[in-house]
Amino acid sequence: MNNWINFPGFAITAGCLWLIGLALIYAGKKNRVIKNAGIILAASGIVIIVFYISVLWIRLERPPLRTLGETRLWYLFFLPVIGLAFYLRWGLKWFLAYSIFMAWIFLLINLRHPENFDKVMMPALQSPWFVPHVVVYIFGYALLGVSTLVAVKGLYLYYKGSQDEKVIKLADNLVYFGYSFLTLGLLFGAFWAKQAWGHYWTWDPKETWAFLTWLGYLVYIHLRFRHPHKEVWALWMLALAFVILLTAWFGINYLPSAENSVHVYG
Amino acid sequence: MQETNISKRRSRKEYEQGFIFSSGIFITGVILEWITGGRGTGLPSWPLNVQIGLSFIIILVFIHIYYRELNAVKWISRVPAAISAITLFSFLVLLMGLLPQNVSGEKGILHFTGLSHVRNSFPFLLSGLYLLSSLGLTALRRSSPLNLKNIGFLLNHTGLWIIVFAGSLGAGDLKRVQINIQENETVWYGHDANHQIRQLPFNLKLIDFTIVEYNPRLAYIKSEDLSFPPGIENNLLLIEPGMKVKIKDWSIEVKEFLHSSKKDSVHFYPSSDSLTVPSAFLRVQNMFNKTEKTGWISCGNFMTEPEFFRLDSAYSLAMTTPEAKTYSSIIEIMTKDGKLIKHDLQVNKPLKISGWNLYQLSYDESKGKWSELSIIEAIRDPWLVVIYIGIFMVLAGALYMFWLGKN
Repeated sequence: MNNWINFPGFAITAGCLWLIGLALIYAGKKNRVIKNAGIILAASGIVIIVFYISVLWIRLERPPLRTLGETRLWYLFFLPVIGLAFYLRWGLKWFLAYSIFMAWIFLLINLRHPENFDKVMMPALQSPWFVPHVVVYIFGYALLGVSTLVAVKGLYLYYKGSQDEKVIKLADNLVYFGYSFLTLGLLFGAFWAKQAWGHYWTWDPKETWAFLTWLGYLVYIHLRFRHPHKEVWALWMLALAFVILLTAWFGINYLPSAENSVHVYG
Repeated sequence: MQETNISKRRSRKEYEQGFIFSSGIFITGVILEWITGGRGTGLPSWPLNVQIGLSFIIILVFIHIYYRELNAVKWISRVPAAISAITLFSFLVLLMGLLPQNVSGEKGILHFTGLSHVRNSFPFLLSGLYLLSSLGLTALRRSSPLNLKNIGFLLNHTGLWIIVFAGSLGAGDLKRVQINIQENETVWYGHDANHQIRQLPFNLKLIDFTIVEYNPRLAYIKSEDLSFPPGIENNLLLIEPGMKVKIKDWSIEVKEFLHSSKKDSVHFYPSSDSLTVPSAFLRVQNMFNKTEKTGWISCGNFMTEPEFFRLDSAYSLAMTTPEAKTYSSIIEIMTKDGKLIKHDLQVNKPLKISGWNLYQLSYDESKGKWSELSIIEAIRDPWLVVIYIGIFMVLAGALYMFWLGKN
């Protein structure tokens, strides 16, 4: 009866493939065969998660994007994708390691709380905008989440007295990509809201917090634009923006102002 | 070296000025709100909003053309002012996100400072004006000379300016009318948020209202108060015929599931009459002592009592009221120029008619699938086109930003 079709089997296989792949990538410094084998293993872990999401989608007869547990599943997919893409593009091993570590955190939470058996989806959610709105958001959040890790690394290096120009450059790239996705998600949401509820913006608490998140990263971008050498300000701003993002993502489930939000979900 | 120091000092000063200015705007807003008794700003509507909007644009362009070299004008179109404007705006939005908004009867300090109704308050209005001035003058400054390098910048800034500008000024022209209509009834009016009757430029007849429901759920509940005990695995699964599930110490099998049934003295039987209820026949086994019993559950409806299955002295099994999968209204519309349109109005699929959009909003939820009432909302928003222009500009700007990244 349970639609959570053997999640532990799939997830642990994928998670182990990522870890082994990562180890091979680290081990194969000079040996291209070992390195490539690592890349292939990590990529096949992603394929397994894609397969799992597809089967789940079919079994649930609706997109698996509704509960927090289901959105975590998408992070399991996006984080290694981003990590691998940035590794292949810029050769950043530590970055791949970060993303896989983050993916494992989501994996462990989901092993404990799958929150995923319910076929019911209220009529307002049954819209062609649903998938693009949520997927774009999740992808944006994943990029910005990783940018926060980069910020933490940058701050750590700064207070240790060493600085690495590459770190802030990477943070910039992640924020630019993440921010464009955040903007797309926000605007897709506006189009959808117009169709479902008659107005593109109603200051629903989730909207309010999503907008705050958007403003937070906006400040970061302006700081970087005007003061390219004040990296510490920018890095702290990046860390703060992520706190706002986390509030928008699940903090509002606990806020008194959000009792009647259409966005509060289990 | 000296030059960098000077520029550093200037930049710090500009930030200080920015934050003093923002605080000044906030305090002025709060004082204005207090003086006017916390009534908020109200929403200007046509033609006043257009007059205000045009005057604002003319003033901005005038300042840009004749006073662009003035220090204050240069200052407001630079990043420190932009950041102070975004920060003040964010601060107010943050308060909006933390404090419950528009709770009726609120008369305390939050009411008099405008913080219980942030988006109609003077601080928010002034903060918006500051943001629009800074954003507008920046965009104007960047627009000459117009070249390819500036395109992303202009799309983002002008698009956002248009959205904030048209969104605030247009709010007063948004008309939202709720129409409660019974099957076979014809209406040509509805009521607005203040329960005032509003006439519509068309007649609306409800031919039929239909709901498709999901199956109900199987619930493990406390018999005493019918509440769900927390943390029970497999609780609230959708009922399917033949389903087998383990909840706590019980192994449960759904032997029979009837979508539409009636009850005689003991049993439920299939029926296609009106006011039927869903029901399920269960076989339940205690996993420890292997005792077995059978019985019916049903969620009932607004006319019929529900049926529970008692497991032991404390817990029972029950059926939840089915949730709606889709609902829609078949309506007939006669417009003023005599056009007759028949349409199946569904959630998420509004119908455009005579400058209005019609939305399937709700129904009589207490009656569920027996509801003969459909709640339809008619909305007219003449500013939508302007907003969409702004949205598409920001979308294009976002794609441009994605394409380029930060080099």
